[in-house]
Parts: sequence; C-alpha cells; structure tokens
Amino acid sequence: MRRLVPPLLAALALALWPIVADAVLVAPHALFINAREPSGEVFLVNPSDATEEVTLEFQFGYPATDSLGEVGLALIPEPAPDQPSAAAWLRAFPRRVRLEPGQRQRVRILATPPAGLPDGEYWSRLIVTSRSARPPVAVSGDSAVQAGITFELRTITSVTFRQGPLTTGVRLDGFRTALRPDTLDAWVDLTREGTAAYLGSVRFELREPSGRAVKTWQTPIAVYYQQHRRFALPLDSVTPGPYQLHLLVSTAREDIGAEHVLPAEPIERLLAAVEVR
Amino acid sequence: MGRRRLVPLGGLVLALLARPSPTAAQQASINASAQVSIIALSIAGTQDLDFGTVASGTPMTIDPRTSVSAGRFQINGFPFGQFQLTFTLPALLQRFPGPATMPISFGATAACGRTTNVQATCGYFNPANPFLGRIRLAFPPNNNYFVWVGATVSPGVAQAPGVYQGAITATVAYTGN
Repeated sequence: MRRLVPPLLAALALALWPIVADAVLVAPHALFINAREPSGEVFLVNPSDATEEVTLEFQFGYPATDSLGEVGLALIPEPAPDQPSAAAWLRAFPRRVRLEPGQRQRVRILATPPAGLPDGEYWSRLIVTSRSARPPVAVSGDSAVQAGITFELRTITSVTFRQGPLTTGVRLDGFRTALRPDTLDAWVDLTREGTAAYLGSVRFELREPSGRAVKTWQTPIAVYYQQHRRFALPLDSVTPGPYQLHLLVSTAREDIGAEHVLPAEPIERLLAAVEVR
Repeated sequence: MGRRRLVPLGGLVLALLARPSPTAAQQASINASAQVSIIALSIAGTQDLDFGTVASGTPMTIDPRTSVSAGRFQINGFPFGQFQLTFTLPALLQRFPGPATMPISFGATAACGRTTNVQATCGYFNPANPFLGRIRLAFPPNNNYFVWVGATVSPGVAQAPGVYQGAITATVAYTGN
C-alpha cells in the first residue's frame, strides 16, 4: 500500500493545482533513505500549460543561522572531508526530464555510499531546476527596442541517508526575549546532540500570570549543528500587560512521517516576567 | 508566526485511500490532493517581467507593486512553512542573436511579496538579499506565497534594435528540514 501512495498522490496533485505558466512541483520535500533500502523516489509534476526542461543535481547543505538570528539554507558546493555529505554518492534516474503539461515523472534516488562508511547520518540537498522549453523570441523585424526577463525556477529539498543506530537531541541555552513594536522576539541557542540532525518544532505560548494561554505560535525547526535563532512572535491583538512565555521544543512534526522522526526528550522553559507594552 | 492545527499527514492519507465506496473514494481523492499539495513544494512562474518597447537613451523602471508588467510567480507548500527565497539577478540583457546588450538593475524595492494575490498591498524587499517568508496558513489551493519582481533597464542612446532578454533564477527552499 505504501508504495502506491506517492504516485497516486502525485497524480492527484494536478487536481487542485492552479494552471500557471512555468512550474514544477516536487514531492516529497524531505526524502529519507537508509543503508538497508538505499533508494527512494521523488515525484515531479508539471501543473503548468508549458513544457518544462528539468534537471536534478545534489549539493551538500543544511539550514544555518546568521548573527541576526535569521535562518537560511547554507549550500556548500565543496564540503570539507569531515562534513557528512552524501551529495557525491547520490544519483538521480533520470537526471534530466522533459515534462509536458500535466505530465508527472517518477525519479529514483539511489545512494551508493563508499565501502566502509561509518555509521551516521549523511545529508544532501536535491536541487530541481526547471526552465521553460519555449524557444527564444526572434529579433523583431522593425527598429523597435524591446526588453524582457524570464524566470528559471529552482526548488531545493532535502535528502537524508541513515546508516546504523542513530540518536538525536538538542541542548537549549540563552532563552530570552526582546520587545519590538508589535513583535516579541524570542531568542534561543540550540545545539544538536547525538549523531543525527534534530528535526522537530518549537511551540511558544504566551500566558497570563494566572497561567491561561492567550496566544501560541509553532514552527518546524531543523538543527544540524548549532543555531542562534530569533523567532519573531507577532503581538497583534495582545493586550499590554505582564505575561509569561512558555517554550516547548519537541520532535513533533506534521510535515514529516513519524517513521522518519528520531525521538528525543522534549524540553520546556518558562520566562516568568515578559512585559508587553 | 501564527496558530497551526493540522492533522498528521501520513496516517490521514493512508486512512482515506483505504476506504472503498465511490463517494468515499472521491472524498479521498480530494483530501489526498490536499495532502500532497501540502507536503510538496513548488515555485511557479505566472508572468515574465516584460518591459515591452523601450525608448533608446531613456531608462525604464517597472515597479513590482504597481505595474501590470511586473514579473510574477508563486510558491506553494506546507501551510505556514517558512521558506528562503534567493535570486540570481542578471546585470545585462542579451539580444538574440547577436552581441548587443542592455544594462538592467534591481533596486532595494525591486521585489514585493504577499501571502495573497493582491499586488497593490505587497511588501517590498530587496531581491539581492535572501528573503524569508511563510506560506499562507490555509489549505490547498490557498497555501501560497506570491512574489512580484520589477527592475530598471537602461537602453543606450544608440541601442541596436531587437529583442533583449535575460533570466532571473529564483530558488526556494524550506528552512525547517
């Protein structure tokens, strides 16, 4: 049954997708494969009304934060030897696809890790690039000067290769807040523990002094190494006054199958004095 | 960030697909479509950035918030999922065929984004910097984020006639996996 679900879903995806000029849908957004079953499948769907030329490539990368606490994807074309990159030994079949309007394509992702690879988790990003197959516009026959820009679209998803027993966890430090107009910034330092990336979520709950929750925010997180992260919590409709901010960090994920989420103990923190002005 | 209450995806999909009756099957299809729309990620171009005919020697700017000629694309994905959007921007447009070129530039307000398809109220951002956004907290087909792109072209006084073209590479990735 499980093997029937992805292609069926890929086929059904067309039903609710808007007709657009150029597009390729990539599913799933996170692929997990392991040493016992070293291959997986990605589905490409062209919901547009134009033929698309699609290429697939792999590159090492992971989410990382900057000094402002913003998270972004760090792509590393030439990873250091001690970085757990799977990019060099992942292959996509086919690697180039021409997708007609409405067409879907199954792509097999195969891992061929080097012999003697130590147990652990190895990461890569799958970069799917699509270009319209429309021919270039010919030179106009008159003396006019015309200008235009087309889009080349890239979708990046994750591929994780797991070998042997793995553990994950996260250490939380430096939980603090800073108030901006209409926004409460919550800062946390997250350090991954164990042998695999921490895929989970953070849930903030703003509470009255009595303990009654007045607002909650939740978002997925992925901690591959360390993150110095700022979460911007909008304070729309929050009445000024004293509050508490409760933080729960857990491996709860709604967008990734439970069989792929490594368990870890949840972490809770409470800031007892948060003043909203 | 905002509230989020979504059912676990995999279990629901499997449960729906296992139900046998025609009515249920139709319902399953609708719901399964919703689920794959949620867990997939796509970026779709809906309109190229079109300057049309430009006057030699006169720069022309397309504002991403106000111009109907602005380039437009949309991102679809997991409701409320955070994504990073980056652009690779050209500095020159190329005439095809031939060696002639035309400068193009992108200012700090050359891009504009919003969770709903309302261009006039989108928020400006600089396409030269990585942009962080969130997919609209809604079920398909409304789990979107819309982006408009403008630019300024500067044709020379003796610009050779023809059609000048270039490409913007727009890259989208989730930040949570």
